[in-house]
This record gives sequence, C-alpha cells and structure tokens, in this order.
Amino acid sequence: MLKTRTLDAAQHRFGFALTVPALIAFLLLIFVPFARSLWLAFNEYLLTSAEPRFVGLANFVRLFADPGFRESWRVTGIFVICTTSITTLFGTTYALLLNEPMRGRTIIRAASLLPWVLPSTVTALLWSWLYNGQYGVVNAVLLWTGLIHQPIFFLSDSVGAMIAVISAKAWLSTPVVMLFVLAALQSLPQEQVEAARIDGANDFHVIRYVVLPHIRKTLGVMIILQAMGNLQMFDIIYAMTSGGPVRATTVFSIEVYRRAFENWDLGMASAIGVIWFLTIAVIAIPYLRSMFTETHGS
Amino acid sequence: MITTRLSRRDLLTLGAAAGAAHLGASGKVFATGQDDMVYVGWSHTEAGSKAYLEQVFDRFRAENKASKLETIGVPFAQVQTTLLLRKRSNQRTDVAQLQERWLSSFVAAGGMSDVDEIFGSQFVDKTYHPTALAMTKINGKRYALPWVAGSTGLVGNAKVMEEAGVKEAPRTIDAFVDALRKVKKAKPSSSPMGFSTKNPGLTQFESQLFFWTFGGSFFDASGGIVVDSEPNKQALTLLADLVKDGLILPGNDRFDLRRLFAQEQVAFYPDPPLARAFARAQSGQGTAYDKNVLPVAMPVLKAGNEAVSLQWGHLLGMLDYGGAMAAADGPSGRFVKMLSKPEVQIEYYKATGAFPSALAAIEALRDDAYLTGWLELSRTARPDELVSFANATELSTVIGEEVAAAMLGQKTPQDALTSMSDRLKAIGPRKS
Amino acid sequence: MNPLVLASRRPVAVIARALALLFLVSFLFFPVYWMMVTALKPNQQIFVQFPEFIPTHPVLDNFKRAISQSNLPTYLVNSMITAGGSSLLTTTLAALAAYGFAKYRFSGRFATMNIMIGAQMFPFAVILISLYPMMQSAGLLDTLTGLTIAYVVFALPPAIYILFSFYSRLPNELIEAARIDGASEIAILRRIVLPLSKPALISVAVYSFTWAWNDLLYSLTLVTSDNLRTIGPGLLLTFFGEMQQDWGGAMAAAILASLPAVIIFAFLQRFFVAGLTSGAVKS
Repeated sequence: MLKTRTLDAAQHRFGFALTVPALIAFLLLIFVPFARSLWLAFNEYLLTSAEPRFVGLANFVRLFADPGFRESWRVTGIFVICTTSITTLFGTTYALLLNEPMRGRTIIRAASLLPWVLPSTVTALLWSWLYNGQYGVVNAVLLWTGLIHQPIFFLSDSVGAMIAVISAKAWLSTPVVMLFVLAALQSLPQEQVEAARIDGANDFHVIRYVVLPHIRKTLGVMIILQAMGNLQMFDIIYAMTSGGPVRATTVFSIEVYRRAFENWDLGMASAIGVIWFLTIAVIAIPYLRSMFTETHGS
Repeated sequence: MITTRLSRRDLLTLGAAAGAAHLGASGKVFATGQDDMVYVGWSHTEAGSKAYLEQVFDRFRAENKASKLETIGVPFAQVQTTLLLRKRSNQRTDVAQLQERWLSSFVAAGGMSDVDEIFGSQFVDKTYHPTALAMTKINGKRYALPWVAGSTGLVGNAKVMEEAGVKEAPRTIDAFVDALRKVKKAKPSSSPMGFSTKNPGLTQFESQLFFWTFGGSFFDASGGIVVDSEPNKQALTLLADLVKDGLILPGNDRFDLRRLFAQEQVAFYPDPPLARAFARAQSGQGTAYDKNVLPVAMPVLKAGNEAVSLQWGHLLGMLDYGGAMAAADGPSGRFVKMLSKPEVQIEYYKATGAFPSALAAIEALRDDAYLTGWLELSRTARPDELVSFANATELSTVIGEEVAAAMLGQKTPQDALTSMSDRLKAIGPRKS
Repeated sequence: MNPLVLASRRPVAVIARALALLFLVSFLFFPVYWMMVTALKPNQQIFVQFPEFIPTHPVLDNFKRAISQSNLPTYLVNSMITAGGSSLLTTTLAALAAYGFAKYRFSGRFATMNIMIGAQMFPFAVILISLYPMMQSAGLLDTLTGLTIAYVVFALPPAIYILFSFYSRLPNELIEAARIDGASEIAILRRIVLPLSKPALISVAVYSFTWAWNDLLYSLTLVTSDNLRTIGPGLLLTFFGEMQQDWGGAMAAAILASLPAVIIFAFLQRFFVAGLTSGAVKS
C-alpha cells in the first residue's frame, strides 16, 4: 500500500474511477441478473405467462417432492467427486514424473497442455468417438484383450455414460493440475529433500513428508477450483450425452438449461439454481476466505 | 518473445478491427423491410432434402426480386427451442416449419396466425387434402398449413431381409421377432430393428407404435392418464427384450438409424416416407437404392387385427414473431403458396419422398407404387397422443425417458410405467 | 534445477515410474492421435470393429467434406471475434480495477472487491436465465456484440483477482518515484504500470479467451442465427446432429476447429504459464 500521506483525495478518486467500468460491468452482467434469478425462484414463470407470478416457496416444495431432482443432486455429486479426484491424482503424478530430468521433457510438458487448449466441443466429439458402441477404439481394445466379449454401448448405459463424461473432463483438466503442481515443485527446497535422504528416507517418504506438505496449498486451491469448475460443467456433458441416457448424466447445469430453455419453466429453473448456488458456496467458502485474507493482508 | 513486441497501437488496431467486425456482423442487418421475410426450418439442412429445397428457395428469390428471403436452418432437435428463443427475443420470423405434434405448444405460446383468416378458408379447403388438414386444427382454429403429409410406420430394407432369408414383411409380432432373429444371425453386428432410444421426444413418438399394437395408450379419451396398464406393460416388456437380445441396439437417434439403414445394418425402423431420400443420400447410390426401401405395416398382435400407424406431417406456421406480418399476397404468403403448388410438391416428392399435401398433387401421383403403398398403410393413422397438450414437449420427455429407462435395462417395465404415471400426474397435462 | 524427488534406482521403482508415465502419456496423447488417424481414414476403414492403428491409405476427403459441408470457417471467425473481443474487454476492465484496488485507498474497496471475486461461485446458467431477457431488451440478442459482452461474465471475477495479486506485489517505490518526478496518475499507469504488467495481462487475456472459446451454454442460447454461431454450437449442431455418423468428417472438423487456439497458445504459452501460476497460486 502506498503511504497515505503521499496521496491526496484527488488521487484516491482516480483510484476509485479506475474501478468504475469494471464495477458497472459487474453489476449489469453478473450481479443484477443473478439477483433477479434468485427472485424468480419464488415465482411461477412459464412459457404461457406474460409476467412472473409470486408463489412463495411452491417451487421448492415441488422440487423436493420430485425424485428426479434428488437424482440430479446425486449425479452432480458423483460427477464432481470422481472428476476432481481423478484429475488431481493424474495431474499430481504426472507433474512428479515430469519433474525428473529426461530427454524431451520440455516438449512433453508443453505438448501435454494440448487437451486443455482444444475447444471443449471438440473434446466431447472426440471422446464420444472413442467410446462409440459399434466402432469405438475403447471397445476394440477391450474386445481384443478379451476383457469383454460383446461391445459395450457406453453412451447408452447409465454407468458407461458417466465414465465417458468423467474421462473426457479429466482428460481436459489433468494438464492444468500438472502445470500448477509443477510450478509449485520449482520452489521445493533442495536441502529438505537431501536432509531427508540422509536420514534414510525413500521416495515415498520424501513425497509424503517433504513434497506433499510443500505443495499442499497449491493442491488445496486446485481441488477447490476443479470442484467449482466441475459443478458448473455444461458443455462436455451436454454435447456428449445431453444429460442422458435417461437423466443418468443430468447434472445441475443441464437440468437448469433444460427447464429454462427447453421447457420454459423459468421459476423452477431458478429454484434449482438457488440450491445449486448454495452447494457451490459451501465448497467455495474456504477458497474465498483465503482470497479475502489476502486482499486485506497485503 | 513475440508478444513483448505487441505495442499499444497493435492492441488498439485489434480492438478497432473487432469493433468493426461486430458492427458488420449483427444478425439484424438482413430481412427487416416490409417485403422481406424470414423462414426457419430444418429440412433444408438435412442431406436428403437440402439440394431440392435450396433450389426452390432460389426460384422464389428469382420470381420475387423485390423481396429478400432469409432462410435459417436449425437441426431438428433444436427447432422448438430456437423458435421459442426467437419469439422471446422478438426476432422476426415469418414462416416456420413445424412438426405436427408441436402445434399446440406453439399455439399456447402465442404468435401463431389463423391461416383461414389470412388465406380464406375456401382457398385452404380447396387446396389441401382433408387428412393433411386434420393435423392443423387446434380448438377449431387452423393454425398452420399442411406441407408434407404422411404417416410413420415401419420402413424395411429389402436387401437386408433377403440376405437374412426373410421372404416377406412379417405380419404379426411373433413373426416380426423371428425375422429380427434371422437378421441378427445373418449380420451379428447389426441392429435388426432400429429404434431411437437417445432422443426422448422420438422415443415417445416411436414407442406409441408398440403401445397401440398391444392395445394400450398413455391417455384416455378425456385426457386422463392411463399409462399403468397391462397392455402397456406387455409392449414395454417386448421393447426391453428386443434390446436385451441384441435385436435393437441402443443409443441411436433417428439420424443414426437412417445411416445404419443405408449401411444395411438395420432391417426395420420407424420413419415417415422421407426415409427414401435419406437412403438415397446415405447409400451413395441415389435412386438406384429405391428398390430396397419398402413401406412395411407395423406387425399386429393377432392375425386379423388392424396395423397401427402414426399420423405425421410437416406444417407451415405463419408467425408474427418480431413484428412479422402475414398476408396472403405478402412475401410470406407467396412463399407458402409456392411450396403448396402441385408441381413443386410433386418435384419435392420425387426428390425426397416427402408426401404432398395438396389435393392436385396427390391426384397426379395416383400411379406411384411407393406412394400408394404408404397411403394404404396411412388409412389407420392416428395422431400422436400428445398433439392436443400445450405442454406436449415436457410430457413427451418424461414418457420418452421412462420408455428408454426400461429399454436400457435401468428399470423394470413395471417400474418405468409406475414412475411415468407418477411423473405425468405431477406435471399435469394441460390442454391448449 | 529441481531437487530429485523420485530418485530410487531399484528396478521395481524404475519400471513402476515408466509404466505410470506411459499410462499418463497415452491417456493424454492417444485421443489426439486417434482424432488425426480417424480424420485421415476413408469411411470404409472407419466403420469397422477392429480399426487400424496406423492408416494404410491416408486420404484428405474428410477435411474437404468438413469444410464444404459445414459453415466451419464462419463459426471459427465468429469464435475468434467473440472470444478475442471479450478477452480484450475483460482484461482491460480487470486491469484498471485491480490496479485501483491494489494501489489506492478509498472507502469500501475491500467489500466491493470481495463481492466481485466471490461472484465466481454464481452458476453461469442461473445468471443466463436473467441475462437473457436483459440482452433482449437491449436489442443484443442474436448479435456477436451481445455474446461478446456476455462472455465477460465468465472471466471477470478471477481476472480481477489474478491481476490484483500481481499489482499488490508490484513495488510501491517505482510508483512513488514517478510521482515525485511529477508524473500524473494516468502517466504512471500508462508508462510504468501497464508495461510492467504485460506478462500478467497476457496470461489473463489468454485465460478469458479460453473461457469464451470453450463456451457452449451462452452461445447456444444467446445466438440463434446460423451465420452467427460460434465453434461450440456449430460443431455440436452440425456434427452431432445431421452428420452424426460421419465420424471421419467430424474428426477432421475437430482438428480444423482446434488449430487457431493451438497456434495462439503455442506463441503465448510461456507468458501464460508463468503469469497464471505466479498470479493465482502463491507457493
């Protein structure tokens, strides 16, 4: 922070003025629409209604009576937990492996970011093809190795479709986790690793007692960011399964999209949005708290 | 370090370029004048009918130099959402291609003109075939003109049948299942019966062929929900068994089935007469493939029963979205009339297999075997059970999802019907 | 040079590491390889149960079809315009605001900023429900301008946070020295702060670009005209719809659709990686 006495009121006004454009954009594009959607959750607003009609908690009552909604809660949970843990595990392992000196390491590191750069519809298209029931390479390999005798129609099987969307999203995000963990490993103190080795530590001990504590904060932030991102996931799932087969991959975002823009039940869609927001908020609080501490502490 | 050389001036240039591109790329620069019109549909994006319809649009443009025709192509599955988004966003839309079973939703949403008022009921009655016109009325008012008429029954692939030793189209359900088994034996990778399990709307639509064959239905005459019945259970059990035995491969949409049909991986699947156009396009053999595309009656439960079939058609709705004004002699009126001309409909039929709706065109095609074959099967066609409901889309999704759940083995047929019944009651069917 | 973490020379450990690396490398690269192989195969070699892993007769037909049978070039241009425009807009707004928050004192700045950063947890689809009618009344529906503006929703909150972290660590002495020399606040921002923050700005620009570039939800809803569609819905509606079973064409289109972002990223990745990892995560 600049010393206050060197700044006069005009300069503070300049500082404030700098934030005004972003503030206006924030209010118009994010805050007001969000607040309005929260309010819509207490209204009935259908394709045939001219105006929203206040109905209190009726949407929520209907929602909690609907087994389909409880199902989408569960589906969202499975998707977020599986995807986040697989991505974290793969990304961290990959970073540790690529941290070792080897020929072509720089190229591999750079090229590994490719999945993350591809448009997500491309990712969805690609993984639908890999998992294709009749001509997909996954089936070909499984049949070849004798693990299965009949091809599996992944995208029309409730478990198979979930596996398909989880692997597509994990594929897309593993590089990012790798990147951040690799960055965190740059500052791993040489002396601590060597000291541990002198004490007779093997690789697992080094990872467990030196590396993990060192990258703990990075991992924590990555996990929360991943979880928040996965809770918002729409494009890959919509493109691969549209939430099917039979709602087996209908996560909150798909549910809200369908209710809002296919069935035109905006009140119900918003009510789901409220519950969805609360779920994200619970996960986001520790992350935001660390951000807020930083904004105050600097 | 390429980027460090990016100066502020470069960024400004970039910004200006992006700004200019925005101005030039607004969706509203086109088709806003009185003499212009916007048409939204899906057939002109599809392989079977694209070439012919583009040609018709060009002809319209040539004959109506003063009007600008903007055609917007949307994939079938996105048409309803797109049209309703356009309505909500006040985007001009004059004429829309509609599936007959969507009509009540659109009427409920508002913005559909009464075509009798625009064209005069005398003209409408005189021009179109009564069966085709039957699809256009909601609560006694005519909200659309029929464009393509017909019915959905089964389409059979003569070549696949022959190779499997199936001599003639099976008449009963038992014979039908036998035929499917023969096909599966001859072609283990095939899906002898094609069925759309991926798209709930089509799953619901196609499943009616089976429910009706067993004497079941979703609703009774007064609109009550009668899903949970013995005939329905038998029908759904059959569908689930066909999947279990590999006679229906799951996970397909109508598009997949059409391609699989042309690749000779499907012996029978539900489709309207347009099927022939897709077989031509996707077999790569053009009209030479016509001999393999057979209209097949839906098999019956007991010999002597009447084969069921589904009323089906494409309609043309006259809309007032975004201030569009329909008039019989305005551009939208002329456009619709052009598509209704007997000679255009006959050409369209020859190019794609789309059945005409105009009386004169049907009359002129009396000698065509494919057409007469279909017409014979269409005699018993019934409308989709959902046509009269304002929230048909929502209901159709629920029915389709539960049917697919049973077919994919996620639920027993009984559980699926129970849950379908509960969910339909929770939504509440609304007549428009 | 990083310290060696995996140092064991025991054969078991060496083999385990090699296998793990092989698995992860295949997981990340095989799908891309398969996309290219499929795109180069003629149809009769694509639709087989046991496909060839190396195409024996590579052909370019799929690429020709992907270009001629779809509006791919239009979709790509639209995506570049909207993603590029929104990236420029987001970065500009975020940079000004983050600098203001980090280097000036005015009342309510922490509260304001915390709310803005906290907006990262607002579900995009929920914002969209109400953004939609607002865009409609502003006449911005079905325009690339509207879509560009809407994309600010995705990246503005994290962009402010990343740049705030960056500016907080910019030494105050630099600014003070300029101020003593009599430089105006605007001159300080233009001549000192912005040039110094180039890597951070680039990383934020790339970050917001990828958000918009990947979007499906907003573009599917806010744009309905085919000539205005971006790459996400363009690919979805063309190759998951009518051409569903044309996997060769779809893979060729996927490759073409990926090229622009891959090229941009190849040039900018060094800044991006450095900027993002240092900005978002302090380790």
